[in-house]
Amino acid sequence: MRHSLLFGLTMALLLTSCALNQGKPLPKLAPANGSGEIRQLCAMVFPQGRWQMVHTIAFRMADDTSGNALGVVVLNNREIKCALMTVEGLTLFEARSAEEDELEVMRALPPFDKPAFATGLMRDVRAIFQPPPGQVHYGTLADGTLLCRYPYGHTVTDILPQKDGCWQIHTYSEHTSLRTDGCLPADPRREQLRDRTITAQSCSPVASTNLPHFIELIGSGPAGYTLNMRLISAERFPASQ
Amino acid sequence: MRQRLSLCLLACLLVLPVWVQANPAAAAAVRLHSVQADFTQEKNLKILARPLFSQGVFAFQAPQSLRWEYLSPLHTILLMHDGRIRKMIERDGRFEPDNGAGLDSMQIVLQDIGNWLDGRFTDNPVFNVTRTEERTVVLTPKEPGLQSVISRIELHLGTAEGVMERVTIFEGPDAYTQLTFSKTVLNREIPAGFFTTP
Repeated sequence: MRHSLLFGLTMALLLTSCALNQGKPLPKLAPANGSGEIRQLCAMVFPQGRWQMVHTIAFRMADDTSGNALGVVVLNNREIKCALMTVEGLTLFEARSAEEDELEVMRALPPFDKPAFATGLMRDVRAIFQPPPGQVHYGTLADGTLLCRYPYGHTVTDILPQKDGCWQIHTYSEHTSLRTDGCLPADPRREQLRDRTITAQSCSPVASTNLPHFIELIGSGPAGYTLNMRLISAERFPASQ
Repeated sequence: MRQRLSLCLLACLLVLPVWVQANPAAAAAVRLHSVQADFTQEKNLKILARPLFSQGVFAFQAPQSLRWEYLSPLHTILLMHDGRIRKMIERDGRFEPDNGAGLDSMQIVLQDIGNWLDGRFTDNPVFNVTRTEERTVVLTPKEPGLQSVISRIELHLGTAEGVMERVTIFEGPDAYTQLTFSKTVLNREIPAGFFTTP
């Protein structure tokens, strides 16, 4: 009896570990005949110039912990400044990044004081508000969805500028592909799998930008998380201010 | 640390009942039973191109009832009554529990309110209290750990007895939150339901 219980528990654990969520594979891109319209649509996804945006952020982690915060992003071309604060006004995290691989953390209170958190947060903020690095390819998916694709190193970022009335951004990284049951196959191989999905909703055109009022960011995998952002204010400033 | 953080936060919020206690003699003369006020919160950070503004209302009634409510930009309510503490957030027109802060520490801070109401706010275990001007009281955290979160709090008392004009919470250079109060009402009996239901 004890043995069968142990066996059952072991199998349950194995099944659970095999059933980890795995991102969708990178879809095929059919090159577009003309790229002018797609280029313009993809450019409208990202705010250009100087902006300050404030969002309420509801976050939920893979372990089901959740919470709410206010998020501020100040954009100035490639430079990004961001802060997370409590509703009561206490600053939990404050950082700036002038370039892709540069990060200065000005303030980080526990549990937001881990270097991995700062790097991950800035990566997410960049993914939402700035065009990705890499040489862009324009095209369509099998269902005709317009797409701008940015391969860069081992990652690929797809921008779907007209998805469901607003836009989506999908990022893919190299992972070992699993079987359909989630377990490791006998001949494991690496492929590009989606690990971040950004879904924008309720877009409205503001200063050459297709500005969303709601953004959902889902990070896939065992350490996955979901951010739901609601726009409170978006101010655009002249370059000199 | 997280508990300490929420303790500190609450200390900032609950330090408001100091109200008339900058002048203990006056406190004895005007016994403070309840306070209600509107507030505007202005958040300044070095990275901001413009400060952030929030609006809200609060009410406190002795011995230990508090309602601290932000009306915008996010509708949240902190309720304390009869030793029960709840924090809620409005989402899609309904209030949901917000478990963001460690609520245990709130009870520790609540114990201090009684001291403050009796004018014994120098007994404060969290802050050193000094009076820099006639109507300015400065609180500085005693613990270095807290000092890294909040460097000091300045309380500016109004000209009318028992009325606080504003509270400024300094986090560090170029980073502070200023709460400015208006429509202050003292010693009006507040029904218990105001501290128990959103």
